[in-house]
Amino acid sequence: MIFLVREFCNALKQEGLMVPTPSLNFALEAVSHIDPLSPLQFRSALEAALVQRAAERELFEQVFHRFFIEQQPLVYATENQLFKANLKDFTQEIKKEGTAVNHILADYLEGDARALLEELYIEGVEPDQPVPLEEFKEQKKAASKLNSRKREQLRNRVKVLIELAEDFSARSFHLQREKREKLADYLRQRLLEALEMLEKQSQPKGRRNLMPWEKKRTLSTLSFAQLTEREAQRVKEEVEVLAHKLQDSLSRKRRKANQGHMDIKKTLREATPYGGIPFQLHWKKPAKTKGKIVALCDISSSVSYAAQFMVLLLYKLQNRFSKIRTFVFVRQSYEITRFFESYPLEQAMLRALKEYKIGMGQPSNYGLSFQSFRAKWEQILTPDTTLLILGDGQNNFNEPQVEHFEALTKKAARTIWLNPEEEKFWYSASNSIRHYQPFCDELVECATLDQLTEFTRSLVL
Amino acid sequence: MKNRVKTPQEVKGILERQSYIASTQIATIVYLAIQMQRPILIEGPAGVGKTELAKALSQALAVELVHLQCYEGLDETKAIYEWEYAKQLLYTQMLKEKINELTAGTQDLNEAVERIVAVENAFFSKNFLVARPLLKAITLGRPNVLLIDEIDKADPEFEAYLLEVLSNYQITIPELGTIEATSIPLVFLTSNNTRDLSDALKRRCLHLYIDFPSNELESEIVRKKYPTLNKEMVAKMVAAISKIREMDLKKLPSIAETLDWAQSLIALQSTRLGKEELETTLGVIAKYQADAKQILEKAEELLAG
Repeated sequence: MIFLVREFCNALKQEGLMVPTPSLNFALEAVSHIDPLSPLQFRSALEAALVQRAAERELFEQVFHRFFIEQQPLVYATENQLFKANLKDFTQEIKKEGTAVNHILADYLEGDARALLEELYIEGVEPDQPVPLEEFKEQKKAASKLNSRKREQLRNRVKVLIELAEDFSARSFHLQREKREKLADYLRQRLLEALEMLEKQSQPKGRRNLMPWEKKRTLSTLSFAQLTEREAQRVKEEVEVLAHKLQDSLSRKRRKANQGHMDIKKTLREATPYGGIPFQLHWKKPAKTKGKIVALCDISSSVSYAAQFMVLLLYKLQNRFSKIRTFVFVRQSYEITRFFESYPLEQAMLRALKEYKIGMGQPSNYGLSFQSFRAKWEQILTPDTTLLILGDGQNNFNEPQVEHFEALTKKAARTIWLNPEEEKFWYSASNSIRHYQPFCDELVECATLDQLTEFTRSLVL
Repeated sequence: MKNRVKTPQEVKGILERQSYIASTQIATIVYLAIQMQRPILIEGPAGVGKTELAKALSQALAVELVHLQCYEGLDETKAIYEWEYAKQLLYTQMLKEKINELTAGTQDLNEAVERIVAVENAFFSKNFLVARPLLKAITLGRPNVLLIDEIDKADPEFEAYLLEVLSNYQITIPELGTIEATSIPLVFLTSNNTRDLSDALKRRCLHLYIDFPSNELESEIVRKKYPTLNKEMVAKMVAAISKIREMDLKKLPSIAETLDWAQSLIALQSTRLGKEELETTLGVIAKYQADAKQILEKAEELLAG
């Protein structure tokens, strides 16, 4: 039994599952308590001891099935270094061609199937440039076509590789014949498995198969500009969760602050009836330092998602601020606060766009927008106001009108510019961010959920 | 507790008597936890019966359930122990004369302090210690089930406090030393996966993932809970729920929702399950407007055959 369980652990390791020695001992102990002839008990015992993450369950099931039910020999793990070196040679040959498809398949053959699985789970290829909502349906169709094209490419490549693998194994004359056959078998088997997976046209099976940390890994680092409509919806859900977490952190911080400062006067006063013995300690409540937020968001198509997420987050945290006023601009500034107070985020945005007839597809003009904002709303900027600008600074060669921006920043307590574009694109010729930067207290890249989280944390905590 | 159950089937049986229908996997892992005296970390979607398993088992074994609900900001004073400050002060006042006697005849302040120091343990003894769930579970003196619910909601630092308890079943209190368990509790940790737990914690646990049940198991659960519902209706409900779980909804219905649905149908004295009944009771299954809309659109398909 010890040998069997150890071999099974090797098979799991071969598939990339972490099996530390304590887990192996754990599995051996567990197996000794159950009836090993009951397949369900046996599997449950091994799973309980060896699988540490819910995301690893599927892999465990596959390996278990292969190892105990199909009883396939574990070629790779038991083979010697020479076998592995030959396999490496083959994968290096594939990688030489340099395309993404080749890299994915080479990794897969070496035992790292993550990239291939990711391909199988990708819903649609993100458009290179974000598009206005009205064009989205067409883009989506195109994306879906692209996706199936990429899958087709992978399938075709796998078919070619099956033949190449045969050739390669046959050419490996330095190996004994038996070993050559084993290598050929191994490669063919792995590639046929990949083909089978690709032909199954795996689709996401619904939310329950996506664990939160998986969601975070994929979504939190994806640039807002690259989100598909579906991903944007999921980011929105994540933003809501994030808002709850930040609220919790805030209340915890307040609780901790309460513990930090004792209210001596009150404690002594209350202690008088007990002869000055302070039976009940009283803590000072920290003064709530609520500031006002004025958010000015570029909603031209290139940055519209980022604006939506930031506004959503701000409104979810609104009890942290004395007042939030939201403005949007493409070529002119418009106040949209009242829409957010009456409608959910998407509706609010749509109603505002409809009422003011704002065309998100127009090229943005920062100079005009700051000028119009200053003309109408300069007075709302007070010494306790944080002015948040969200935009990529893409001014499309228009006049930046820096004097208006400078005047606004002088009236506000601080000015923070969140740029949803990667820093390397900030200083192109058509971009005016370099003109505005000297007047900002902070200029932060805010292109992903992770960056938005970090910024909001620093803003409210 | 080890001798109370001899096989996984027995665990299944005693849980069933508490109206908890466990799969072989659940029963095996619970059995292993009892035999190996290891904690179980239960993961899975909300409402599949993670917390209920611990409750049912404590009732089945007729032992006390010590429940620790985790939340962000939970610290050792709420989870392990706390010194009872007011009581310490009160006793200091009550024992003022005794303290005076103790320090009587001392030449200087140092000598007085030394005499008090010699008896200071009196004020840092178990009499002034408020045991919170973790300490309570290990000092109870009789077998018990310790449920650490929604561990993922607690801060990562809190996990560090748990490690000592989960691996050695002991707690170290600086003023008192190490307190070892008088009777080892059966520990259940539940998690909804809002964050990944530390490897150190995971390594100490047996893992149980409770997924949505199979149609047969779910039918059995509903029938056990609501025996008055006719068999065909239960089968139709469970089939519909299973199809709904295949849909891309914001919140997938779990066993809790299926049971609520069954209860609603009983309350409405429904004898059949059609589109009308689904519409009336939709709020029980769908927690979001968008989900409800999607379900209604596919009502006929869901309720067919």
